[in-house]
Amino acid sequence: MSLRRDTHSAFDEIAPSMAGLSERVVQTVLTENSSRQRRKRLMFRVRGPLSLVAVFALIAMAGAVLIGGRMIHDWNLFHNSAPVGDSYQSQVAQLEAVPLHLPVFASQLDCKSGPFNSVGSLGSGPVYGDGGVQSQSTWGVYFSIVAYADTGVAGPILVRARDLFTGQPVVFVGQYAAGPVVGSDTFDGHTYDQHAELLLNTSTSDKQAVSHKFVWRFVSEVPTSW
Amino acid sequence: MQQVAEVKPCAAVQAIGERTFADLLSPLIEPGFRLALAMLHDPQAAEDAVQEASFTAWRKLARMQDQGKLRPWFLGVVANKCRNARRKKWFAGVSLGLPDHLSVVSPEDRTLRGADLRRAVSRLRHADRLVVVLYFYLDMPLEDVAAVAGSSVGATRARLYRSIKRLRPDLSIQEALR
Repeated sequence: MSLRRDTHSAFDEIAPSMAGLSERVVQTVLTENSSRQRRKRLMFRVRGPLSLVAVFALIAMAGAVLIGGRMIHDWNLFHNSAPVGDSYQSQVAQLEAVPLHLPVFASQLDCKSGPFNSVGSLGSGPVYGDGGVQSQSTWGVYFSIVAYADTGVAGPILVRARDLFTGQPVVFVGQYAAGPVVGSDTFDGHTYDQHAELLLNTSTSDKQAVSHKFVWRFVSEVPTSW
Repeated sequence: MQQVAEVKPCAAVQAIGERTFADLLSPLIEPGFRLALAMLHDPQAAEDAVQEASFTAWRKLARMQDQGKLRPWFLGVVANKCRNARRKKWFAGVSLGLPDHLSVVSPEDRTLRGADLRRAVSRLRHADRLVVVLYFYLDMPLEDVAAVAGSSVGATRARLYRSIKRLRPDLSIQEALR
């Protein structure tokens, strides 16, 4: 038996009848779409100098996007200009001074998710991200994200994100939210300040000794006006 | 701050029309489901993935400049939904693939071989599994597989060969491709 025939046989064994499947799926789209929350294509940008830890990563959630070349370019520029021995705050200030240049996509075909690492997390390293639970507020959609990095990483990591189709900024709330407060939102009875940046620091991470990784859990929010 | 009480359908999609959408998408549902099934090994999860991909198609179809690319694009969306589904399962601590004891308790050799192959495919990395399923199960030509995987034909061929070696180390590439 050939591998092709074996493959057909192996999966046909577990395939249920597909009668009516097309009609069911299409009809569900047409009837439920108006009540569904649109997914957001997000992109995070993570940067820092190597002596501080310069990292770039575009972490996206729910149809996310990652563009590497420009980020590498910016990261290298920043890395080369980072003075050694600056205080933590000045390092952060330098990171914040780097402008966020992101492309704009007109077609979904131009916008691909990735890259992913070997375990399926988004990013090309040294920081990676995994999207988690979504929650809806009147302002937007909250995404619970887990970011992690190898323990060789040190220094501040600045994250900024923007919708690649609308250009609208993604905001952050909670423990690692940083930068200017750009708004507020009430969710589940609590009011949260929305910040324009996320600041991750290896000294404040949930270090996991077993997996030898720094781990940060944070929440970002995307407006629903896409 | 901006508040939106209800998300309105994209105007461009409305312009396409429900009938056109159904006509374009309906032929893609079955191959999408077969892809998802082979990626996830779970019929319900596979249908969920195709359903989610179809919602994505509804929102984004109008943005496509070349609707001749709809099939590889849609299958690519399904593949991404499958990746997310597996990740969610991983977060939830749910194991994937068939239980290891299945091939031991089954009396039928064909079932044994099928279960073993499914388990072997499930253990491939996402990108490898996708190429194998598209090529061997959906019978797509390598060029189309590359389009769905978002890779070059050469890189896709190399990935396919590597995956074959992982699945069937005792089989020559030529034998496997027959």
